[in-house]
Amino acid sequence: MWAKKDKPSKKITVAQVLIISFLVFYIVILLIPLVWGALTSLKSSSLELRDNMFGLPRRWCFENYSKAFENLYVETTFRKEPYYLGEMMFYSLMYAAVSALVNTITFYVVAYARTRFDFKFLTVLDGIVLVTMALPIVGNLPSSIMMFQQLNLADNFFGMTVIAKMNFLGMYYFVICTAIRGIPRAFSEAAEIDGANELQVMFKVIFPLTLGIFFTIFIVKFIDYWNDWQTPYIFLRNFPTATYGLWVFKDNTLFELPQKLAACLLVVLPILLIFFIFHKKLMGGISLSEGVKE
Amino acid sequence: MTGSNVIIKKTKISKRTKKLIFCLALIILPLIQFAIFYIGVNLNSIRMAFVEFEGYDDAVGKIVWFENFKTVFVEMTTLANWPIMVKNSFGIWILGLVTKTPLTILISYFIYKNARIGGVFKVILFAPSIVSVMVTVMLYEYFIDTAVPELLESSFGIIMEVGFFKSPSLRFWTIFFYGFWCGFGTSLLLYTNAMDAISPSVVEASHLDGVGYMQEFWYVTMPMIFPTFKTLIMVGSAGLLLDQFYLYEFYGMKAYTDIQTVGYYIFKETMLVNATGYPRIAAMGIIITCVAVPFALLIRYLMNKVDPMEG
Repeated sequence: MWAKKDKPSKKITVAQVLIISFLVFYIVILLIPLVWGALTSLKSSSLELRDNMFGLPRRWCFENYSKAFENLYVETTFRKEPYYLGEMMFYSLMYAAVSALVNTITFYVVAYARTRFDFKFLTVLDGIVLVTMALPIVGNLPSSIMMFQQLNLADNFFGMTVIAKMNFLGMYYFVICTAIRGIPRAFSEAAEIDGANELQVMFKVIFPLTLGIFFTIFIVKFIDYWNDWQTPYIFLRNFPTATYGLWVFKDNTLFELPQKLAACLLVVLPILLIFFIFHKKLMGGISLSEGVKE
Repeated sequence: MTGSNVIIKKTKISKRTKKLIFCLALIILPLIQFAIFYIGVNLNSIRMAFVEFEGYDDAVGKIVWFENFKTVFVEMTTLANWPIMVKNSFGIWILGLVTKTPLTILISYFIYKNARIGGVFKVILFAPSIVSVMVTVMLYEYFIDTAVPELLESSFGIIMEVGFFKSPSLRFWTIFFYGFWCGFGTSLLLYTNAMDAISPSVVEASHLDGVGYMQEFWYVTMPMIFPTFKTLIMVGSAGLLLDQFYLYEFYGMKAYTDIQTVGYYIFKETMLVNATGYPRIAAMGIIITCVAVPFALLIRYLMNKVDPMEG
């Protein structure tokens, strides 16, 4: 039916035609709202949409993108002045970068300890991660909110990006374990014979060999945290991020639709750039059975 | 001789101790974090289910034993929206299982078998999953709510009196379609990567035995990707009562009762109430967890039963 990996067949089968047709149809359906959104973001106002819903903008209003920075804002009880889109994008960058770095380092050091040392108690770590991944615990959000408030970590940038993200629960723990296990013990043993201490072995021998995996997970987590709007909504209202801002703008009729769509595209732009630069690393890399391939 | 043995032993012990100290230094902070923010949070959640808070600042509360459970139980058995929410939560999972999962596997197989053209499809299909849900929700909502009715009217003369997100017969499917529209990403990636990991010699051997492509899919590819399939099904079953079905993004607190899910309801209630309402939600969470955990374990058991690699 399909050809690759062995002899290429020139026959096109019904199944192949059906799947290609479905995929082309799907991609068209996927792209139409995006193209419509991009064109609408360049129209002069919501009024223009009434008689020019699908056409090209009568005047290409690229200034909508700068106006989105000036006109779209979020108000909070934390300060009198509203938060504008530019400031929120800065908070997004800070939140995503610090959280991703702390989270990736945590995954890495715990996985490192688990794989490089043979203390029996370390096997408990695998069990902890597996159980927390498999057990669905419902309704603990109120308890989390109370806990974070009592510890003064809610609405606290350090608390939400460093302390809250210092957790090793999740698939990437196993991904890094698999990668470190793949490095021959002889490498670290040779370094130890040459007088390297544990820290030097970790940073000068093992880490450079797993830098690719570290970086891939950092990028994946950066995208996750950039896109995360519920955590800032619940726990970081005094640092409103851009995606939280979009949620606020969405139903606010004071803001013009073209500017709201311009804000959408501005928020997605950094992530699309990262994706197109690193898509091979991000897409080819992660699998459940093998972890991350370099 | 004895002296040098002692020195060697001492050196060995100190080396191991050093390793132990270094190892503990690496894991101590993440373990404390886990103890506070996973174990502590969940234990506190259990405790909260048995207390009543008298004010916003009351962090300790007064023990009321099973009163909160009684309240929630009465709510669950008398309010009409609970059966609907449970039905929706399970229904969405089952619908995804019978539509999206087979389609994702089939597309993944197509991509796996057609590396060049498939690679392009893979990038395009994966792209929406890296975009923030808020961006896709906004684009989808504005397009469906403003552009599609206009298109229907101008092209087919169909006038929509009620929008897609408000119409009682369309709102569920409009949101279900959104999940379809941008939801292939991660699972497609995991399936294609699992397929790419199949040894070409296994595939060649099957072709030498005269196996066709459909047979290859069924007898070679499916068993080889079964661990990925099993994991995704188990993760999905574990999270089905937490799934908010994007309702908070689309409707905020105002989603229609007939499309609400258990996950959405609990999240919305948490956002709606202050600390005095938390014990009720904690009790609700415990009751639902008591359903979710056995269900997740049942699915795990069933998946292990049909796993070709097991037994």
